[in-house]
Amino acid sequence: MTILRRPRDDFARQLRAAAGVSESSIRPPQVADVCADFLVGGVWEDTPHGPALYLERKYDLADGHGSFALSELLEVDREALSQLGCATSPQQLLFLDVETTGLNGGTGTLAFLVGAARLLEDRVVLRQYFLARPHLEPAMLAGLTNFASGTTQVVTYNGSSFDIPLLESRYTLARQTGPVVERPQLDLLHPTRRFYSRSLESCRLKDLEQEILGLERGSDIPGWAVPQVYFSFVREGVVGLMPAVMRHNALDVLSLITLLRKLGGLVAGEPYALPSEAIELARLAYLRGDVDESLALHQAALELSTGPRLRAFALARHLRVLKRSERWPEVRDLCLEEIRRGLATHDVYIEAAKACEHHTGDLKLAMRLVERAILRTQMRTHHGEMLAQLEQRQARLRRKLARRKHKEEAASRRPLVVSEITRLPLPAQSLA
Amino acid sequence: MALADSLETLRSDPSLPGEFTTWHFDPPRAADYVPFPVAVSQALVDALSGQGIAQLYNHQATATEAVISGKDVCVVTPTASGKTLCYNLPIVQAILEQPETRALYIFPTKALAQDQLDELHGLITAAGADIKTFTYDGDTPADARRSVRSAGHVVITNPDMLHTAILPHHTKWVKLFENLRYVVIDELHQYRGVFGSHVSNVIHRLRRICRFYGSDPVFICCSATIANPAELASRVIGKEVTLVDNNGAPSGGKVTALFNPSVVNRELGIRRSALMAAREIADRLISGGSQTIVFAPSRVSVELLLTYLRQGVKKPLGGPEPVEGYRSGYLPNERRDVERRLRSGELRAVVATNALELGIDIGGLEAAVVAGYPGTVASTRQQFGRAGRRNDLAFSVLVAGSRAIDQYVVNHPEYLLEEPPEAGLIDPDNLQILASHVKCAAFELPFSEDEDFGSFGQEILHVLAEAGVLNLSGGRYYWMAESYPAEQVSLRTAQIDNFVIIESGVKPRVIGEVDRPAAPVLIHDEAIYMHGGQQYHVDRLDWEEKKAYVSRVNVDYYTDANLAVDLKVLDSFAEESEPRALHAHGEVAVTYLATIFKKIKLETQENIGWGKIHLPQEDFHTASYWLAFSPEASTGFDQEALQEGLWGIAHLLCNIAPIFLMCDARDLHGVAQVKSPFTDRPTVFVYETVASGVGFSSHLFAIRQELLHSARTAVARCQCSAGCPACVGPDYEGRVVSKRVARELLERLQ
Repeated sequence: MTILRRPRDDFARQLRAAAGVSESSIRPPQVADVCADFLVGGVWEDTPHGPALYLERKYDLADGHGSFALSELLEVDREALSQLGCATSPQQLLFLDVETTGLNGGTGTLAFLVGAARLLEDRVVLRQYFLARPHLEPAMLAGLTNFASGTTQVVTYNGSSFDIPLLESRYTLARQTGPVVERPQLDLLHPTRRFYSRSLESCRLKDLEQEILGLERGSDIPGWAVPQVYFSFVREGVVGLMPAVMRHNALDVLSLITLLRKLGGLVAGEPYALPSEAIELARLAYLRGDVDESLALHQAALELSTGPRLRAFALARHLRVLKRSERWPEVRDLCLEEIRRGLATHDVYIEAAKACEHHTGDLKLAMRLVERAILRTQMRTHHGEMLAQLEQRQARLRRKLARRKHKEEAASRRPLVVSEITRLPLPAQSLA
Repeated sequence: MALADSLETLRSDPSLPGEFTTWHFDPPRAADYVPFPVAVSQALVDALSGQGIAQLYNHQATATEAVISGKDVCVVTPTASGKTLCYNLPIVQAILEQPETRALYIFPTKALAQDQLDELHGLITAAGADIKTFTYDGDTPADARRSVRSAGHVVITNPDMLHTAILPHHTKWVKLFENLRYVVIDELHQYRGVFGSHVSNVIHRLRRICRFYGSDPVFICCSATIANPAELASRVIGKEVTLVDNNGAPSGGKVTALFNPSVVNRELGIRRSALMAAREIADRLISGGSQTIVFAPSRVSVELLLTYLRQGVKKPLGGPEPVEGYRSGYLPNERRDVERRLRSGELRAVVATNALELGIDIGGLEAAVVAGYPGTVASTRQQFGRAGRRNDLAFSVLVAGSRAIDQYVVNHPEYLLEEPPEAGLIDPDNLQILASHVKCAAFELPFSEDEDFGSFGQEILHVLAEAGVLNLSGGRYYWMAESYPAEQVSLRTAQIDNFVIIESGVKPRVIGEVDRPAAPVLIHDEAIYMHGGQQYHVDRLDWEEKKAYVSRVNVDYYTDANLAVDLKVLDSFAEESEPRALHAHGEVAVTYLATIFKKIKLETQENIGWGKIHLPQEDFHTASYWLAFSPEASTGFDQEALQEGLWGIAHLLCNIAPIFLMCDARDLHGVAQVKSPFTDRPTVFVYETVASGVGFSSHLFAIRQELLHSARTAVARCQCSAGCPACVGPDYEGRVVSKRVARELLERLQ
């Protein structure tokens, strides 16, 4: 019989199929050109782990970056900076941002560009260590260690969960110790979120630059496109958008300087514009022990607040300070004012009722508040546990009011003498 | 009533629906004790004495000595023989001597890990040692992970977690890897087939990372009885091992029986249902007061048996259920509860799938009833092993189903009781498996140009570099992609994306899960899904969202879905032509489509209705062996007869092949095509149910003559008239010539 036979495919094809590699993706490898235009002026630094390539840019202190000059950070009150978590003088800070081959983490993700800046007496120095070939990573890390010497704190944006752990992993893989990753961190994302997440739609560095740092980047490469640019460079020597990546990274690093300047300025007493700024300043004031300042800032935040959500938050914070300071009549009055103006949320009714019931002793007022709250709640379609809790509160108030009434009546009666007691009529049951 | 009395009655009970073909008694065996090895410190000896362990069993001492002297071992002893001490003892000893020492325990499931943690804690507390042990799995809270990574002396995990979370992040585990001296791989026999091939590669990656950090741990493997434990261990870990199998644990004596349900219709070869027979036997054992475990072959049958058995056992008013189910799909806390109540003796019986075959500690039960041959000798013995006590008699029984392999086993008791059980086969060099792990390994640490990984490591690195996934720089291959390769590789054939089952209502509630392959047949619209003995009607299956919305019902039927299978040949890897046949193996695409479901009445099993299933088809690529008949070999039959004959051969080959391959019956499926589009001839396919295959089909191709010879013998010797489950499959739906045609076709090939 004739045998049907298809030619057996070659082993390489099988291997590609097994490895999930499509035939069309195969390209002859090219060695990346380390003399590409964007690397002109690059310096090869000798390290014990080989040569490290970096580009250095120097900025005049008077240079502007958005609304601020770089020098302005030096003028911010040190005490204000320390309230933001800055433990040292600006000259000992290392401002750092990395560009990576992915966001997934794990030891297969490389940091191919590390931008780091320092403030010196007369200028700002920004160094960008670039991984021209993957195997040069140990040298790059050693170079970064050199550049960081003399600094004592690293400033990043979201570095505590991304840049720093990633570098830590790279140092471990290179079997080097990395002062950069062992140092205390100042991750500006956290204070920034506290200052702005309630006023701005996003706290991405780029959006902050536009909204509060007065910096317009113009055309900038989106973060998601960055890894592919590096892959093309390393695989095929394509320069492509790499200059844009370098610029993107440089701007990120410089913005760290002006962002710290902006936040420090606010803490030091510069005028604020947004309610969320006032709320965070109020929190810092409270932490300093300055209750009156904190309350004044909350009051200002309430006046600035436009949206109901932000207003509710400002009010809750305000009430928290008042409650911790045990200023109960003010708690009550603030809530009542909010109710009078028709702005109160469910929580405001509860806070008011609690203050009246437990602290100022206005049981009747508490009762009225609870009754109003019940009415409001009944009108809602989804009230979950709210109604049950209110009714519990109502029942308790009813008992308390009854008890109080009883006590008041008792107090108003004159004391009975024994002889009179014996003449009182006995309740019917006790005869049975 | 004691078990012995129950057995006496059971053996001669004429009302049972069948007969015992075997009644085998293993006499009690005394313990074989030896003193503690000198290397074990006095503190540890005292601690163990405090726990009532004054001496060691023979195998425990052998293992301890071997491990302390730095040998890799594979310990093989029966269930409940104290095997955990074989690794806990030398490892705790090593940590006491050198507190920097780290150990990694790998268990196939999270549940087992939890169990072992408790046991290890006991020993550590008794020894008064400052040894920190942690489980690291998907349930470990994020904030606890940091301390596990740096402070844990013993980290207990599973292969999946090692694969996706630990190895790709090894720089966070520097302390562990630098000081890793011991790796324990328990339940080694689980790592067979595709899963085992994956795990072997994961271990290979683990050892590669250890080398990077300068450690070279000793491996301690523990396996249930299989034919080749030492071979499997050395293939999984990639180095030779010392076998420790001098079991010194005592046993209280055991009766092992095989039960064959009686024939209902000899012509049709149909027997009474194994499930029903198992129910009858279990009912008698439970009412005789023996704590009993019943193993059922599928999730549906667990629920059916659970329903039946609960009818037989009175539930105390207001008290807990005396009979419970246990299978995948139950939520973890439900399972923990069942385990606890089994140990305490509060539960009188449990109905389980092979989920309880694993080493989960439920104590020794008095009786085990296995409904239907589980597919392998090793698995059967594991299930039998659930019944066994150190001092008292135990009983286990296999109730045969009507499948060919069941009938073979029940009529050849020596196969189950005397022959060595199956071998654990793995193929870590399977190209697809190997390639996925080369990617993971390259992500973890750059490969050098002369570093090996499996048989084709460098070849795979080369094609990956060609495609730019890796970049060759300074003599090393660097990962150059955004992806996280470990996430794209699932170690288990069952896909990880489970469907959740939600009971609708005011407060919707998740009652369980179903893995993806099972979803089309178990939770299609209108299916009756059973969980914990309760019936639920599937109101809606949201395929995209992987959610099934169900509501409680109480109906007198269950549903059984039909799965239509289509197969296309993609590529032929090797062919051998004979005058009358063509044998080949290669790559095929298999399509599953759930078509209709039947409603089957409980108790009577009659068909009372049906419905259509509207779900997308599932495709997968795998390997297949096929046999095509030449025109001369297949002449003289009409189309229909030929179809019947070919299906008969497919059935026969699938029944016989597992005995040669020593694989699980579920690893192979058959398809018959009267005119295959690929071969253009009548063709029978035996394909692997695991995507890509693990080499069974090339093995079948190699042993094709032996395979056909056995098939001819089986069909010739079978007593049935026109086909039965034991040979070419039951003669149903008008298939009357199946056996004759199959036999004739096979004989023409001689």
